[in-house]
Amino acid sequence: MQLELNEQQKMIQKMVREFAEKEVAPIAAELDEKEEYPIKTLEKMSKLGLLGVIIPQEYGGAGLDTISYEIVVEEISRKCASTGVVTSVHNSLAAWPIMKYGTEEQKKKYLPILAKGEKIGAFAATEPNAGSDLGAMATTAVLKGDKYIINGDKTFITSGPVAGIIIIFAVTDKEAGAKGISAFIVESDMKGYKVGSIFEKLGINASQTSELIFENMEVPKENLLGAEGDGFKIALKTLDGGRIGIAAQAVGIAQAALDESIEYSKQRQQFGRPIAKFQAIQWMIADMATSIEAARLLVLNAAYKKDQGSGRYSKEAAMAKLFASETAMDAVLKAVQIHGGYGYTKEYTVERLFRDAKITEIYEGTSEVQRMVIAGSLLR
Amino acid sequence: MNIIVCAKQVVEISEMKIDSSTNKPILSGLDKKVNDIDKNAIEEAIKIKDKTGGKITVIMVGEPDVKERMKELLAMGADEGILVNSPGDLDYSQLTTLLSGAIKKIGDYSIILCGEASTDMFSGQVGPRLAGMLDISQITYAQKIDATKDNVTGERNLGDTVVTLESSYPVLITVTKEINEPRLPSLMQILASASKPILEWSVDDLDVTLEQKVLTTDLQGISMDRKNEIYKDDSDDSIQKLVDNLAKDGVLR
Amino acid sequence: MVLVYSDNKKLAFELLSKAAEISKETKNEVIAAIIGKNDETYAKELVSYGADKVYIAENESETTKAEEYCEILENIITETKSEIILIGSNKNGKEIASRLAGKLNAGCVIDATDVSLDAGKVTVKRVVYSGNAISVQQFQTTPAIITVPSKVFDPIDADSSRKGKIEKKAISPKKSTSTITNISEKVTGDVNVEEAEIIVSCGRGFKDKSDIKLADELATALKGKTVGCSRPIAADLKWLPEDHWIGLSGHKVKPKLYVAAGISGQIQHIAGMRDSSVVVAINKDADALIFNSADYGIVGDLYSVLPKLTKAIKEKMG
Repeated sequence: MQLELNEQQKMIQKMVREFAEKEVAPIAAELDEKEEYPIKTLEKMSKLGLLGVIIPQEYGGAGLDTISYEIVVEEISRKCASTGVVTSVHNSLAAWPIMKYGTEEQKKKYLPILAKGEKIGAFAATEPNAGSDLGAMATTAVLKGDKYIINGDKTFITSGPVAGIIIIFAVTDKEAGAKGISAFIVESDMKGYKVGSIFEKLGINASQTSELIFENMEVPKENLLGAEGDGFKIALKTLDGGRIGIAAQAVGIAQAALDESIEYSKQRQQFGRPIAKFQAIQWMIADMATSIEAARLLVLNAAYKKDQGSGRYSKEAAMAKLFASETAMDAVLKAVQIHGGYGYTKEYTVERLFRDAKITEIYEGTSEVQRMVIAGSLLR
Repeated sequence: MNIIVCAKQVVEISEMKIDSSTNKPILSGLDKKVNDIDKNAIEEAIKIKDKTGGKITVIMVGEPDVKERMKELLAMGADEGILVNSPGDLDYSQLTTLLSGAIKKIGDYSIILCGEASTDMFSGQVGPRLAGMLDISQITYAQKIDATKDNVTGERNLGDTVVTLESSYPVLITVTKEINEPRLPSLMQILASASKPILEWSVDDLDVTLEQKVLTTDLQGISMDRKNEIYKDDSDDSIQKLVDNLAKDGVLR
Repeated sequence: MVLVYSDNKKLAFELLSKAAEISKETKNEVIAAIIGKNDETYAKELVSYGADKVYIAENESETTKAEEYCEILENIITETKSEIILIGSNKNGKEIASRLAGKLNAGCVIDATDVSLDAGKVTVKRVVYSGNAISVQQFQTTPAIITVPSKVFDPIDADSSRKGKIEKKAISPKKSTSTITNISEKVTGDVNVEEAEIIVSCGRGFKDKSDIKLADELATALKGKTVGCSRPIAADLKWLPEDHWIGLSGHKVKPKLYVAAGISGQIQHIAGMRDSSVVVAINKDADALIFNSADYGIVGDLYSVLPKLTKAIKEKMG
């Protein structure tokens, strides 16, 4: 058993860390303030292969393992949580289900485009009345000739305004409950596809989140992903992987909070010495660091489990996401506290981290849902 | 065209602290990296190779851990690495003798590229010293290079003038940081670097004699003690405090 | 023998004083070399500054050309049996000294800040690790080749009555495989950051070239006239000529007051201004490295701080 990154993973970490410092960090505050999508950063990332980390090489990706992938998400998120989640959704929620459930034609058609970052990927399952209860979704898909006609609204869709390839879920058989939901690969230029309103959010502002509106949207039947009725299963399995990405994002945010806190407490002087000399601060730093270490190991554990190939990693993914997101929230609370009044101002990075962290406890399955999954796996 | 790049592993100087009891810089425990300007040299080598074709060989002198740095340069685009195992602390005569021995063992080459200097010592001696040893022409402090199959033109930035030199091969060129922006290797390039060869040569493999010409007898730390009085805002009050302090320090005439 | 050479006259005069000091100790002669142009006036000046002998080696290239000039020096060294060679530390000097050392397989130290004899061994000091330490180095063999930057030594007062031998040397070095194809003058101002007592320096925090006037105004208010800059401003953006560039590969300065505005404080920049007496940093990023190297700092936007500071300084100075 080896608890260390291998040489190649270390090289990847180094490259992404340098990229994040040079290209992501300098503009993170501005993008957040302007609520501007990091399109230029994504272009640069695609040239380095960072938008196709797990896509197999035969389709133009790097074909890397999940651990390498999670390293990428963490390092990017450490400098900009918004860019981090866009990367995670693109790889885990858009590319992965096509890799896993797509036909050869679908893989050949869509994976190279996603790998090269020519189009951004998104995942549209959530609806105004179907969040944690995904099975209650109301979007319908009716087969008419060689097209599915899809009607419905999706909400809280990451990269909604700019995505070109979107995995969507709709009900094909109303009587069958969860087993009546099907998955589709949709392109934004399909007739009837509309981007709805863009949300003004508390945090991750550079990641644009919107509604998607399907009005008699025409989707060719070749774009059915998997078989009719497979949709719910595909959604859950995809979210398992996505959760590990969000966990990695949360670890990145927490790490940033720790980095800032260490730097600040060494510099800030009160009562004649740096506040790093005070036990209250030291204990906060110690607690933050310990939780982050644990969270990171849970992420690596889930990633490792996923790569073993048994297909059974829901519990590990849920544990990672639950713990990492709660760690991130705790870390940013402590970080702002350590910064005192200055941490409350927009001049300091921790203010943005504080706003960014909260969403990690909510999307891709709330902490409550994660607890359900973990308990469910133990109390069957 | 065969291009040789000489690179060096250096410590991360921004992390360096001075031991207050011995007044010596603490050299252990510092992160190690490839000398920044050597990456500019590799980047330039890749640009030349893209234009004229050929092979890029990186030579580094050091201990086995230097192989990690070598892999980074292979990932950037070098084709092959040669590590000369260093028998300990070397002066410039010994270092350059090893490099020259390795280059003679490699045999055929058109261009040797080096960074203008390494960030730790900032001497800039190795490049032109090597050119003297090999008795080949040199273009130092190049801010721009244009290489063809037969010759190379280099622009030297000398501060108040820019001198352009044209040279046939072989030639040694040292580059400045301004010459280019070193690329980050893509994921694919990192993967590909695993199969690129790294040869390891010992002093005995090279036909050389090492003689120490200069001995370092002491290393004294210089610590910069600054007041570090930082005003957290630009209020009129803070500005006034600063001006009063400057007056007190006697820098306002 | 001590041989002095530089393609920069002022530097050569400075080195001669140290050469004379060493020669007195070793009871030897000081030899100076002129390469390129046959300049009798300069030769006489070298004598007045301390050279006992001056060799003039004319060369078809009056601009320094490493391979040929190196061979000429080699020739002079062999003939005079010079044991200590002092070369002025500019880019040309450094490359010639290094090449020479390679040719002669001699010891060589670049950018020495001190040269002395310790029990007969040539001992030098130089700054290493971006200004974090001084390395003391001792030559074990001769010849000892040393390059010295400007202002390390002061020239003696020129004595036009001094006597010295001026000799023309006809040395035809082997023609190298490289040629100079162009020499162009760069636009430089009359700024001399190395001599300045008060410097206001600009970094990437400045958004536009025209904003540099904010630094100018502060410098004027402080009764200094010198605006400096970090690497990106001179080398990348080219908003100021390189004589304003302060840093490891730029100029080293030692003003009474150094104001760093919108400069992040990378170690390579610090290496250029470490010797400043008082350092003030202005940066809107509270975590900027520059604050570690500053005596006083203001966390704020330079666009608001510089005008305010200029006004306050004017009021204080009356």
